[in-house]
Amino acid sequence: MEILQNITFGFGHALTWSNLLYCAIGCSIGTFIGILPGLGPLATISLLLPLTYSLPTDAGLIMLAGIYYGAQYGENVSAITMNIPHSSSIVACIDGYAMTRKGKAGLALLTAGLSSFIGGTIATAVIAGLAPSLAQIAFLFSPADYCALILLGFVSVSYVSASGGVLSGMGMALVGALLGSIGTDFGTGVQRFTMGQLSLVDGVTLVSVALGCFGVAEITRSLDQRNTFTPFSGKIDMRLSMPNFRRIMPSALRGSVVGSILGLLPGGGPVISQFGAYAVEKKLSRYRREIGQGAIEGVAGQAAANEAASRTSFIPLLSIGIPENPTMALIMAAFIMKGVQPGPLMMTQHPQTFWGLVASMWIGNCFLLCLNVPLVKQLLSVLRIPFSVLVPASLLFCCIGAFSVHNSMDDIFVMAGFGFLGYAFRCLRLDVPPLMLGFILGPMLEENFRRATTLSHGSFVVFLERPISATIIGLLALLICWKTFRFLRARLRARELAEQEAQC
Amino acid sequence: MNRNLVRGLAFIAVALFFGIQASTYRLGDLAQAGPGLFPLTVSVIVGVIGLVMVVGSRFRPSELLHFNFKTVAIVMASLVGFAVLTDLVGALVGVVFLVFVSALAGEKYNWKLNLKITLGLMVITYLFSAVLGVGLRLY
Repeated sequence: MEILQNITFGFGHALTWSNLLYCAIGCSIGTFIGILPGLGPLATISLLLPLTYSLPTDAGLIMLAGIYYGAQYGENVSAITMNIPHSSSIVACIDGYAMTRKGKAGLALLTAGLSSFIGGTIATAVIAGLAPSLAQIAFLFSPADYCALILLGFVSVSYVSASGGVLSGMGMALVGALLGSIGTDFGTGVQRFTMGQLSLVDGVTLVSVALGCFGVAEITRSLDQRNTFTPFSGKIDMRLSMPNFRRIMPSALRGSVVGSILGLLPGGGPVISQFGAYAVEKKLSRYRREIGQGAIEGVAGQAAANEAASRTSFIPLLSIGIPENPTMALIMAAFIMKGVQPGPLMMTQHPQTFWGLVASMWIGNCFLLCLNVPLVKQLLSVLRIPFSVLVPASLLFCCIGAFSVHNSMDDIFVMAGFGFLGYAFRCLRLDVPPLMLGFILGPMLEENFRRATTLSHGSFVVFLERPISATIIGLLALLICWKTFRFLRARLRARELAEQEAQC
Repeated sequence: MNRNLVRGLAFIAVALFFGIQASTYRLGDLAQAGPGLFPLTVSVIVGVIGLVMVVGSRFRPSELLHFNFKTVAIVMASLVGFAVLTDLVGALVGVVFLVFVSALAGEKYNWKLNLKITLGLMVITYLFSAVLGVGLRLY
């Protein structure tokens, strides 16, 4: 019954007028930004991070979380109506857009909205049930265990963001770790890589890195591509019939389970969960033959999984204190700026923040369903904003955002530098999100590694002696072996095929 | 330019930049790690990844690298100009510079539209400092 008590406590905090307002603002901004092509949730959160300084702690965090999961729904909207894929709505383009072409855009949007609601509700329950007990386990973690866990994060993020290959993903995460080590060394006070710049003594500001790499670089990139979109103007009929509802439910439930699990794993989150849920639907659904040609199941499963994963990915951050994907790394920065250290102690030190946030996630769900689903036509008008207005406005917001962290112009220069780097990385087809995660995890890894080896008087055995770290390192080794095996096998097959073709 | 080759070279450059500096810091040993140990280790790994990529690019078909210097230069100039002008004169002048320079990267150059955008963004900047308390000097 402790859970019920905690949840009512959380609702008590989340249901104040100001928190409700910020939750609604967050969800709506998130949906808006999700619809807009180009700016993903990472860019949005980094743009709005500085705005939350002037808000109270709980309200700021509730708003940021709302942006994150609101964006998942928004990305589905632009995928379904206009076939614009974002990183976490690639799958929604297949069946969702097929439904739109059949004239069932309204049904597809409603399916996405309803499934998101179901996925979000289940995932919120999972957080409330799982996070406190996981935090109890986290109390047992020693520096060596943290080290192993962070290493797992490094490796899995480089596998997940596979668009440029595993090697480049790993490389980017490590470059992020190097960037994170700029500034005063925590153990000895030596200034590293500051090049004599006073503004770098405290390290590179995370907001400048995020705004540069995501905000400025994405704007520059979209200027390059010069694409303009005409908003969807077809009819949207939002009525739901009972047979359709019966088709949505099982898929949404399956998607929620898949999403909740995949969201928990390191490196996980909405991006991989959509593929997982879609694969499950293709195997298990009663209408599996229709999937791919505009089946309700193809939309429902992945929408539920997206929404569920975007919430359960909060669990490792809230209960262990380790962000598992780049977006969570940014949210962690927001927590720290607010003076709340996410981790096992958070639940006892700031219970109202924790439970208020969990409760607000469910309230945000209701906002998405009651406000953003019926108003989807109005939301789509965001695409009418001409590019020539969007570009200078976003650049100005980036500048103000970077400046407001320390009230310093130097941060704008740093941001511009990272904007250039981010653009160069995109041109080289190197994924920037692993860099972001490396930037946060790198210093944590160094600190815990140095603590662990100091405690063990310089021996590596400590990592294999402790049961938790030994298990994680074993898992890591298995993961790497399995992936290498699959890679080699694929190579071999490709070579055999090529030889066969050559013989023919 | 071959994208795979440039990728590898970029990683090597980063590794050299950080690695050379890190090797000048005290390394220490594992029991008492100095400030240079962790960055040097990471730089070495990044350098190895870069080398593998450079070697690997010899065996792969080369892909063309698109890098639009004009767009980046314009965006960078507008950002740096905004910061410098805001520091010297005030944010409202900076906004004018930002809008008119960044518009150079667009397809059409429309004076009237730029003027409207500038006015709108000036109001937003004012609101930022008046309502949200951002410490930008306006004029």
